[in-house]
Amino acid sequence: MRKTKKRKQQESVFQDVKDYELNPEAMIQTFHLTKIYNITEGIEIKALNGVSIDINKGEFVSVMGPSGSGKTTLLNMIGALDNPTNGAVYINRTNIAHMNDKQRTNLRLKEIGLIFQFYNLVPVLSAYENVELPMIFAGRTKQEIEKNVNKFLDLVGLIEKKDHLPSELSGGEQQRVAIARALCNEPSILIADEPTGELDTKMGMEIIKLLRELNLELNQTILMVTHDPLVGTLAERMLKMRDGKIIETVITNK
Amino acid sequence: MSIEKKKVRMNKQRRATAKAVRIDPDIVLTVKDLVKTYTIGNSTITALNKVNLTIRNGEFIAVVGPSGSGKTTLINCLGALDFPDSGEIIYNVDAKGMGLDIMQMTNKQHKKMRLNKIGLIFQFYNLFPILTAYENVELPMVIAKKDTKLREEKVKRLLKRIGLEERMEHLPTQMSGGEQQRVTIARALVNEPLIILADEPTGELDTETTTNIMKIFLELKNAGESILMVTHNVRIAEVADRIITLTDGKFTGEKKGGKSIDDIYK
Repeated sequence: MRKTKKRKQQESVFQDVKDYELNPEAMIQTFHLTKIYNITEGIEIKALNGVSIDINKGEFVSVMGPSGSGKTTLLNMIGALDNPTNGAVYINRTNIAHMNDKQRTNLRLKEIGLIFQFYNLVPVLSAYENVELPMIFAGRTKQEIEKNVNKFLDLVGLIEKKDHLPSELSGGEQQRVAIARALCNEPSILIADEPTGELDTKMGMEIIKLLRELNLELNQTILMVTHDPLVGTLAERMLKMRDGKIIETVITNK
Repeated sequence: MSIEKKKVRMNKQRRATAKAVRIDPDIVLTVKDLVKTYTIGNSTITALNKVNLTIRNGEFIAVVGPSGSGKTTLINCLGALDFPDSGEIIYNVDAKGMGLDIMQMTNKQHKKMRLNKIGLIFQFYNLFPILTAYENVELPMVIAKKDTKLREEKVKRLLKRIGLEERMEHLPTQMSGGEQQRVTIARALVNEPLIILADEPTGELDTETTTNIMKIFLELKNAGESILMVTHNVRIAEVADRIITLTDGKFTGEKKGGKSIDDIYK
């Protein structure tokens, strides 16, 4: 049922023979992205069915849709966390299917900052140590690490709690640590999968406000998945998904 | 953060370095009269009410109880992730009988304990999604600044031991729940801890995968590891050497286990 990673990668490369028309402004571009999961012999699920999107530098875009519409699958493809069955993903005009394992790891560590619904902090490490992790793995110097970890913990308003463990922080605070962790390598793109899914409305709005500030002040490109319409409309542009397809694009003028 | 948590942190910072006491070298951990309360609004909840426990080298102990009985609080206190109101948690830190009480340790010592002496396994795996299986297992060694060559040798050996050697370049999103939990077991073992503390390790898994995870625990036990597992699943607890019942923060019963996992799910 499960193919090896190597084989999957080769497939993507072979199917991506034609040159796609690239938009010079685009930070993220996907072309006819398809993802098929084989559940059991003979039963297939088309999680993505030909998704083509363009996201420019500095844009804040939300993806909305019911569960099972393919939102998270789309993020996993763009975040280089999984490989498409067909189609292509271009990050900064580079096809990520053409990258080797090392280049993809580098892309995930340096170019893309990922934020998840369940925060995914390491429970035995303090806020500071959680934020420095991607910088350690990216091989940054001690000085760079110290400067950026302090800078981004300050930006998310948690510098005074930097020595606290995740279990000593509220859900909203843990998500702020996760945002600082996603930002510490100064990525071109921030990808958030249901970042407010586990938070109450007030805390959720504070997280969205923080993302909005990052977008406006640092010109950070943000792609966010949510099933909450209130949260979704706070982005500049909202893509509505259903059954693995984009069915509507809404400009919110925010 | 609540006022209560702030108080705990301040107390923690004031603590001096723990004084060593001699304990039986065959004992991994002794817990005496452990009390933990939480204050929510005007009411106080006693999560742990004078808990006593001794774990010997190579023992596999299961603590069972319903939600809210204090299981997770127990793991968090023993794992230096949360701090009890009173009592003693003495670890045999050098495995030769030098006992140190977590309650008297400094923040720095707590961090060392969490990184090097205690292997924690959680229900929701808590893997770092952007890192591969290999890198997730390597993580505690990177933080502990261990040598690269030693890291490579150990991570590869552990991934082989849990049967994920061929999937070491895979990301958590490319693995099943059972595979992710196996990665966390390897991660918990990487710094050769004194004990493994597991909080509902099979809570998210189906019966077949649960059986496989329990088989790994039993293999670890047979290889000499000490394990404390908390679970609400009374059936799988039967594989442990001893099964202790936790009710409303108190140990209310104990029985012998040692059943084979294949007998439990036949």
